[in-house]
Amino acid sequence: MAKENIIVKILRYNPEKDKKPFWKKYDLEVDDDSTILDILNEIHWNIDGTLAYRRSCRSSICGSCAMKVNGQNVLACKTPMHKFKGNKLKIEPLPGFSILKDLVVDMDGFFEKMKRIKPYLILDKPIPDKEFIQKPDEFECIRESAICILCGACTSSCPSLWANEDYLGPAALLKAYRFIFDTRDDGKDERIDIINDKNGIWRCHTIFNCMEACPKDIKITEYLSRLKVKVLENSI
Amino acid sequence: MGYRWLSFNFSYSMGTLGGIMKKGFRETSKKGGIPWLIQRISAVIIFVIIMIHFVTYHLLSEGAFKWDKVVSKMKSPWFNLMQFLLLCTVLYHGLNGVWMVVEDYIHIKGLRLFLFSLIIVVGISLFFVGVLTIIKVSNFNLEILRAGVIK
Amino acid sequence: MYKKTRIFDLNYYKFTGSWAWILHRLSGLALIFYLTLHIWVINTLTKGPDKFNNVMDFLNSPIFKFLEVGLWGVILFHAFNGVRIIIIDFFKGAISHKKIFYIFIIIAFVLWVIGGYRLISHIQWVH
Repeated sequence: MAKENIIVKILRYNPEKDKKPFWKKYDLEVDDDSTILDILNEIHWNIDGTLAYRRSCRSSICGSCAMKVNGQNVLACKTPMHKFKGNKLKIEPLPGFSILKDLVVDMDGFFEKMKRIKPYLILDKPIPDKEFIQKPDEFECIRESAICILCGACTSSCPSLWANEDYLGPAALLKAYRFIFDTRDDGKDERIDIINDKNGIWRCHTIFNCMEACPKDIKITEYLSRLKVKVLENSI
Repeated sequence: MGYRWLSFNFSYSMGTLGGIMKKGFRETSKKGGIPWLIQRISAVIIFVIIMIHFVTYHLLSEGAFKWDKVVSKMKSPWFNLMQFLLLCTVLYHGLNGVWMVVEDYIHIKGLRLFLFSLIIVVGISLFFVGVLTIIKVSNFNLEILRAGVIK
Repeated sequence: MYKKTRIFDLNYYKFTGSWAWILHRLSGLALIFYLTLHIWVINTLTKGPDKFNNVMDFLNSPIFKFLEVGLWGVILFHAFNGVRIIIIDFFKGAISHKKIFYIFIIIAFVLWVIGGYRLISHIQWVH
């Protein structure tokens, strides 16, 4: 395994000391197959212990380590450093959210929006004895949207959200899609009423940043387009 | 696959029109869905008319624009109706587009209200200027027709 | 807590979709300004042949004709990107939106060259 020298610039911010975030440079030697998270770990464990960042599973399923690297939102544990050309990395916290410390951002608003669209099964009918029966193609419709790991990379990459904090954002709308298009769910009208708003689905301008940012390669914009048609069909 | 999307979209548009009739225009347009739909419908109309406009005025015509040449183009009532439709759709499409940008980026209530009234005033005045132009020019054509000197 | 992004994150990487959106907005805003001017100029038709011909002689100068070629390009971009948006919204174009964008840009470019040639050939170099 070959070693490689890289220069990492990280946007640091300590709310107790600093008024504004500032860039700090680290020169280090890492294995050439490391991911962004490996580099952060290397810095945190061996160079600078004060660096704060979120991490947990390091196998792209917990959704903790989304951050902006070289101008793109990525999941640090899933992204090899060779995705970016050259040996310079610029690591920032997710844009659009408030910074708590270093790379840790305030996700409260994100999860509050997620809760607003009621991300759980709403039932009118009695619960069946064994299981809900669903045809394969009915499930295929929501399969991809159901694998969202709530990392926030999409919502934070959305220019509509940068300009307007009240916008629900692609992640919450994708969750709405996942339940509205679920044949087992009965809360369709309720949810459509919530997302059919100027700060709901209609603030989506099909910019495709969310689709580029999604670490699970979910075709978010495609689902939001279907959702728009569905909302027009149902709620007016 | 095939033409599944066609039926899908047809049912969608019919459902939408029915819904507008049932629930009324104002309530639904407040939420942003109706302007979104009209923006797209007007876009298609503008696309077609602008292409006709470009072909008739620039691709097929020769020489510079002179008064009698432009006025004689607006002889046919159908052509004038097309111009009128273009005026309406372009004004709606353009000013709604500007309003969308304002809604995205302006969050101060007073400024927003000012820009909204500005958009409305500009829209109404441009509409009247455009309609007056169309009416007056077709009157010129009528006068020329009566005088019997059409070229 | 520190809020960094306020209106637009300028150093966020701009993908094809972002460029399409940014240029669509800017071209739209440019076109609404042009529309205002256009309606105002065409209104001089009602003020008689002399006035209109004067204005048109002024606008037939090479500078305005080249500006008109630019305008034709802006119109074509806005129109064809608009068609792309409609395909995305109603005809499941989101999956291959980049391909659609490049195809439409090529079509728009060809039309721009053809139309631009015609516009320039209308220039009256000598009045």
